[in-house]
Amino acid sequence: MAKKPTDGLSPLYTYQEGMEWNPVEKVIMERRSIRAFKKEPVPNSLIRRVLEAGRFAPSAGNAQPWKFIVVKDQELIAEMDRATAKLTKFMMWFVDYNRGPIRRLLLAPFTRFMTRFMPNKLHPIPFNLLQQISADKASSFYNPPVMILLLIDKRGVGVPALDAGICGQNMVLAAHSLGLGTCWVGMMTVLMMNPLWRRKLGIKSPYELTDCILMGWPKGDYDGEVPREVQTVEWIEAGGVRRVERQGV
Amino acid sequence: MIDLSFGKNGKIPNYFKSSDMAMGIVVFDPGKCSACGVCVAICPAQGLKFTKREDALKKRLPALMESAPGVTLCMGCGDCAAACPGQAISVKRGFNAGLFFRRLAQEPTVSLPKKY
Ligand SMILES: Cc1cc2nc3c(=O)[nH]c(=O)nc-3n(C[C@H](O)[C@H](O)[C@H](O)COP(=O)(O)O)c2cc1C
Ligand code: SF4
Ligand code: SF4
Repeated sequence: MAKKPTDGLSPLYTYQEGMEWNPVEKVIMERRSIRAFKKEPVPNSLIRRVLEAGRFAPSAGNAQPWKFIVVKDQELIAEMDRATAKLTKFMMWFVDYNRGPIRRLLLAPFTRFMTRFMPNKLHPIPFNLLQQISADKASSFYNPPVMILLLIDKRGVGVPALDAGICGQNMVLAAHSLGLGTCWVGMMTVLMMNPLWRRKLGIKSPYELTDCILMGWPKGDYDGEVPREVQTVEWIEAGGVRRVERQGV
Repeated sequence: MIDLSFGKNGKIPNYFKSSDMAMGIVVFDPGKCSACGVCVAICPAQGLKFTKREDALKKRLPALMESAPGVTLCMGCGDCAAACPGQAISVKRGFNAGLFFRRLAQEPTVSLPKKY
């Protein structure tokens, strides 16, 4: 993997322009989503340690609108994967309009209609993945030894899903700093469309489940830096002076 | 066909039409690729697979899959290029779906984390 600074890290709580990453920044920059895990189990104490990072995340009004379910049962995880594939196949039968000219004619208007109502769920990127899953070419959960279900308490202050996201990322960063690999998986939303699975996992209102975090020892060393989009950042300085700066170059 | 557009930019693109969908494009340098499979294993879109090479070497090489002609599964994340031990991959085009899903890209360029 490219560009992995292994030389002396900068100490925490100090800053000098252009200095080496400190350990926290290093974890942030080099964290990659890990989708291949070793069979080796993760000790419970280590899972608890990661959960602790989530427990101490900030939240609007300190409402802490989250709840964790730790799944270690490999059979259950495999069953969830199969069930998601099955549900995806069913769903895609109604919206995948590229399987032949007749389907294209009949389904395209319906798919567009659905996409209009669920633009984020049927965004071309998850659509592609759903297509792959329904063709048995992709897995939804990648067989992790541990799965943390991140439930959102809808009674939180402001935007509870945002709080849950912060909480989850806290855990992800803690996990990577401990040598674990993680991957956020939003495909959970598909499984949660099935009320039987909601019951099976005990997801009841006021809780909802949209995303989960896979965790385990990474198979292969994929953590490292990748390029990302350069941002144009607008700065408003004293006196209302506005200026645009390119961030990252 | 029902037009659900709210103006031109609100229109839902056709996911299988290359003129509506600028999906990512990655190119492989067959000279540098050792067919180790790292890229195929890590692609988050699961959009790469091994194919037989045409020439005399007959090596198996990774290639980008398409869901329709000109529409790949690549979302241009650059993970494969960063992970490739032989630096055999370069991202030729990023992902940018058309119409409603078109991203008003702030910058066409990407860069590694910069130590300010
Ligand atoms: C909320 C959320 C949901 C995600 N869902 C999935 C998913 O269902 N499947 C998957 O393979 N990756 C999923 N990802 C991981 C992204 O694909 C990944 O973060 C992105 O490609 C950037 O790569 P990186 O994490 O290696 O930096 C998700 C990420 C987030 C933040
Ligand atoms: S990671 Fe690089 S060397 Fe390995 S198969 Fe992919 S392109 Fe070839
Ligand atoms: S750029 Fe990302 S999505 Fe595209 S082929 Fe490489 S890993 Fe897959």
